Amino acid sequence: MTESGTNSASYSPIEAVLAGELARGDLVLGTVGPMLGMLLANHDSALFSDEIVANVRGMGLHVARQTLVAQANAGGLEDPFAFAAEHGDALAESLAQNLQFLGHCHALALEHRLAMQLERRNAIDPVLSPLLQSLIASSGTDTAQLAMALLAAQARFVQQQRRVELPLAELPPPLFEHALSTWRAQADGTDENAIEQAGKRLRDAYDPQATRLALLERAAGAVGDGMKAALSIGHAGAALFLAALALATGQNRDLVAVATNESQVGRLALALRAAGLKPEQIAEQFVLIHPGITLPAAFDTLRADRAAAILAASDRQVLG
Amino acid sequence: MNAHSSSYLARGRTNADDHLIEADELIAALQRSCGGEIPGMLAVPALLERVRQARIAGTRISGAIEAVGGEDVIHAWVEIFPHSGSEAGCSIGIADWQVSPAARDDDAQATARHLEIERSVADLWARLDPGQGVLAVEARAPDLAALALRMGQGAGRPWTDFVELPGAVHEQPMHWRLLGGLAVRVPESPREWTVTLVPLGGPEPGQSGFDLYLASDAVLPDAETPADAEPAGPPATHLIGRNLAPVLRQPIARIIANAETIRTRLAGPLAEEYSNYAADIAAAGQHLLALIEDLSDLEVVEAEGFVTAPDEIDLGDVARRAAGILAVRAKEKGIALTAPPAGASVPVVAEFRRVLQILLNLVGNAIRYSPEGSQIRLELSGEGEKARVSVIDDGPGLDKEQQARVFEKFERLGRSGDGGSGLGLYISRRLARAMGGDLTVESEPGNGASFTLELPGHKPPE
Repeated sequence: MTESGTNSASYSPIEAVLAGELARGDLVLGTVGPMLGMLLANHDSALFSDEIVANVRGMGLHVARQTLVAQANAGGLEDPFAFAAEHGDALAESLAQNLQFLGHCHALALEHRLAMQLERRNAIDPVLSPLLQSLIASSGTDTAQLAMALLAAQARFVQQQRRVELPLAELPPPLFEHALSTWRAQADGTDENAIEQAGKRLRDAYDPQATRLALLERAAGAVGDGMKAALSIGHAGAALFLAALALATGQNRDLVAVATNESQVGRLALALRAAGLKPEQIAEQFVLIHPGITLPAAFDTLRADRAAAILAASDRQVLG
Repeated sequence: MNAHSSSYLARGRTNADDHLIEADELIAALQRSCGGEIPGMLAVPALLERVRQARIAGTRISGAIEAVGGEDVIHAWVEIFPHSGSEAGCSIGIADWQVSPAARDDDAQATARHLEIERSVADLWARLDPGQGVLAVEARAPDLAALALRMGQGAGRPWTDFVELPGAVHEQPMHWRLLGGLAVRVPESPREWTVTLVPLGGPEPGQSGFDLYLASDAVLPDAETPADAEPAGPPATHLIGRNLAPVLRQPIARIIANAETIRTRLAGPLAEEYSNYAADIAAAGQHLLALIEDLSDLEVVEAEGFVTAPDEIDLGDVARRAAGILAVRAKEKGIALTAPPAGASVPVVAEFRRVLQILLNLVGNAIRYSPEGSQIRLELSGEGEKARVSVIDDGPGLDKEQQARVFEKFERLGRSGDGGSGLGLYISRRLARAMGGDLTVESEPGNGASFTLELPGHKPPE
């Protein structure tokens, strides 16, 4: 290796390109070992199945495209979708740099798959669960209205997931901000005015109280009796169950969603216990979520407050 | 250019735009069954990819490709040689060629796939309760926004209240099985919408409600489309040929095969009358199969933009082949079938298999409707501009009024129970005309009939 080989300032253009490529390649090489080791250890892991990874990628792309289409519309471009297609990949890549955003997409994909599995195996309706039905039929008009809104939101969610979509209007507030700021930071191709206008339009259309996740949280809170009914996945359906479990244990809902994966049985069992479920009730949830896994024999000696303490001691409080 | 070495099964050549400009039959047939033509853009995706790679990289490439041609999967070993110099393009050599039948989805898979497609292309989607009342609705297409709004406001009412059902006199909503696949109209939309209803819950389908999807084959006319843009024609719906025929062919073939087994008493002794029933089943199956083929053909010839792939062929040769194929059937009826003498040759420009199809239809008809012991002759005439082949029989003949009707669709001239569909002559004439020729009949009642196929002639180069 010559002296100039270590001094990037003296690179000719082609040398610079190749040196850049080499650096990028080295970065990948550095992560090959840990990634491969993780994939091998989680042999045919449902956490990273091709389907889940593809869905996460697709949702990121969809978020990117929505901001770009809004920008192109505001700028009066002839073909907003072509514009979005052209810039979508780069923006999606930037969006995915944020691990919370990535974790959220992952949690949604896992939640959807869990709901589909429950529908196939146990005929649990992913949209209209018995609990939601009884909420709709409740005498309190507020609760009934909330439940109808949730039904529509839940119905849209299933359809969106089938199409691998994640509407901006469904993002929780911090991630909505992340999506908009990431897009703004690299927005290009139209004048500043159009970007400004598009940003304003997207913000005006966003109502954090109307997202499915907000509705789920309110509905879980409206169930009453310590959310016992919502903590039965067979009765409440996956969506309400996850919201109730997150609320009851004070955990992030995305984290709870990931906890339904079979690599996370410890977290799920602890969370259910911490939420106050009795061992036989927990066993019922396990039969539905993990039909092949039985709880350890001494599990019924675990006290709820101890379970909560163990959970709280975990260094994982959010995804990412 | 090594591609010209004689060890290849087939060779082809592409130009700088990856158009196939020359090809041996093997490649040409695959190109056509992939929807391409010669000369024309290379239509075999895997081959195109290789050719493009080789042309851009300027280096020889060899490797295995997989392609789907018609009902078959083809595994081939190809070698691509880019040309240098002014004649940019590639030579293609095929060194190995294996054909295997394409794996077909079973019914459940096909249904699941169909449903996935409907879900992905639907422009309106709604969740219904078990009584088909609307619970939640969402629309994507602008021309369905008003419908979605009305459905949302009228939540609880059956969805059928909001759309126009064709000729609906039944009490609505009908059973979900009757509504699936129906075409409905929406007041605000210029398009026609196809209904998909998915029952949810079990054990009784629809116990927990339904998913409703509306999808359209047509694209919403864009208000900003320039006036000189060509309006999109009606979508080519090869319903039978593409969807129905492949599904029906296999079970019917099985029915025929099993009925034949019973009829010939291969599985053991059987009373005479049961053997005859089996023969009836086999015959009915054959008829059904023929009908499916006819209906698929009908769709193809009636599709807008239907063209044949003309070639230089010898009409005499085709006539002799047709006679050869049907010789056994003629003999069974004691009919003397006379083909043009060997060596009699009339060059025409037409598609071989289409001409053969027409002649098989004409000769088959002649055998079917001629009395036992009569004669059928195939005669060639004309040369140069127009060439003709006539199928002449001694049958009962046709009167003037019948001659006028005989080429019409589903025309049976009052006959029934003889295995005909009434489509053969209609299809044959459409084919003849698509090749720049015609199909005509001359006949006198009692004196037989003469069906004449006329085709554009071809003068061989001096």
